[in-house]
Amino acid sequence: MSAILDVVDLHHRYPLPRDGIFAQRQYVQAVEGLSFALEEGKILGIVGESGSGKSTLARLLVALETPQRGEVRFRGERISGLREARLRPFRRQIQMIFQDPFGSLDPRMRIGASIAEPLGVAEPGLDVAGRRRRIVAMLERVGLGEGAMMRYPHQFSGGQRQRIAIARALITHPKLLVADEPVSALDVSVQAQILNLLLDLKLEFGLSLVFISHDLGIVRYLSDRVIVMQHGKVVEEGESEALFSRPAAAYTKTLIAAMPRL
Amino acid sequence: MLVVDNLGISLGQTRALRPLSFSLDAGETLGIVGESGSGKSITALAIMGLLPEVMQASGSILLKGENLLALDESSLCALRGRRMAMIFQEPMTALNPVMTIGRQIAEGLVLHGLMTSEAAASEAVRLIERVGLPEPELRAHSYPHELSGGQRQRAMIAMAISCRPALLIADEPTSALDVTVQAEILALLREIREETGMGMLFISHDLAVISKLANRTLVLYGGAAMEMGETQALLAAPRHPYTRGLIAAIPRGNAHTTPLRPIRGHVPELHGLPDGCPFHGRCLTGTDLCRRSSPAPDVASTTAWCHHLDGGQGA
Repeated sequence: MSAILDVVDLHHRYPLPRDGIFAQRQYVQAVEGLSFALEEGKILGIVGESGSGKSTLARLLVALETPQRGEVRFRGERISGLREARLRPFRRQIQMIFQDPFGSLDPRMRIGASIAEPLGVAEPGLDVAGRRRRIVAMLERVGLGEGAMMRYPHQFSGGQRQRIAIARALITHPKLLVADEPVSALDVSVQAQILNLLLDLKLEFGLSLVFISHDLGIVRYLSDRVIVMQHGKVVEEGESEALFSRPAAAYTKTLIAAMPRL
Repeated sequence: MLVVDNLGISLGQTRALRPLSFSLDAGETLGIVGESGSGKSITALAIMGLLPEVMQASGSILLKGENLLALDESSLCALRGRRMAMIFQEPMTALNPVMTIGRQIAEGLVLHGLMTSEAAASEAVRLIERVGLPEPELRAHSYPHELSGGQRQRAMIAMAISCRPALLIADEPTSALDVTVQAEILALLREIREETGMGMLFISHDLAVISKLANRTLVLYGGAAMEMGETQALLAAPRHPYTRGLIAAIPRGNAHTTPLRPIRGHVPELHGLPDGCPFHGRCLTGTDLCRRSSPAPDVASTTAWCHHLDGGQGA
């Protein structure tokens, strides 16, 4: 089996504000020596509490940040540290969705135009009618109709907005989707719909998925493999069922014990 | 101790909460679970007398026999903090950022005339220690921004219990916290409940969290009661289609073995809800009767408000 994503010894830190202009600059180490691989067609779950570095990792994976050390490889090719022009062919293949789709959708742009944007960059040769067909098909696929095209983000509920964000992410037919807490802000009854939609689309589009969440129940449910992060490092990694039924690391055990269950 | 009788809340023509009745004994915890727009937070605000002015409440709320809805603002002020207190999801917005933790905790004790300011200051340190903050004397002089999220929630609990209120309302007190911190705060609330014998209304969107604390649980949806009963009975054998759907929508096990059964549709806007059951439209057993008329309560292992309790599989 081949890996779609290889992460090798990834390090990333953020500078802290200086105490004074002559003071030594201090840093927080957000990610420290991460290495793992994601196989084609699989779902990798990443769990951790606040400050564990999981969101920094997400930004590194989609090349929104450049690591201080180490590298991210997509199908064997290094993408970390590339200049934007050389990254462009990878951008359409690696997409991301966030916790708050409202923050990633332009409030003044109609939904149709929002979804058309990445498509225009990825497939500039597509004519107006062809583009429209693709957008309508995608909107219908995520459970919204053609009517959604002419409306604005604020006219939709949270769950519908996450459907729109998913449509926008998948319109270029990416191979890798990084989802950072995509259902955390949604009502319980709607969460399950979005999780099922992601699972269906994964099969249909042949996606591989990195799914980041603080919710252990959801990560256990969705993932093939799981990584537990704490303070920027991997504490434990394993097959989902094995890791949750027989955790080895003390921190994993603490997390699982603290998780409220019905 | 607390008797809420036919409490209704409206915003102009929109019914934000349909007539709701429940009671709470000393030492007991009632969990209120619901999604956005269910009415769970405005119920809490109505009890505290903190409803926005544009909303009107009807019915009655008796706290130890006194009708809170009939009181004027100054009488309510005398009760708030003294007989009833509230903690919120985000303590940073409820704590005063320019006042030390110690002074904020002591403030209520002095304001309600329970202690001199010296006595209140040392009581504040004792309370800070009680809620499990390290180095209580030092912490008393800290400002809210110097504490972590979990520590701030502990400080807010100290403030809420300072005057030994009979009723504590906790509105999503752990929803913004990490799961390990959440477990600690839930344990703390349980301990304090045992110690003080106060009654607690525990509001959350998370049934699993509610089940850790609540003796009884009330399920709200779209501003109306769906089901109420002993928490264990309600979780073991939910009777209302909405409760059943809510429980089925929580991921269990792994996707390869256990398909997830979501509730169809989305959480509705409050205006535009039918006269009858608000869950009509998302419910698989919903009929025309459900749209037209509100169901009467049906009392068995739990109390459920549904026209079709015996038929169908629900959502």
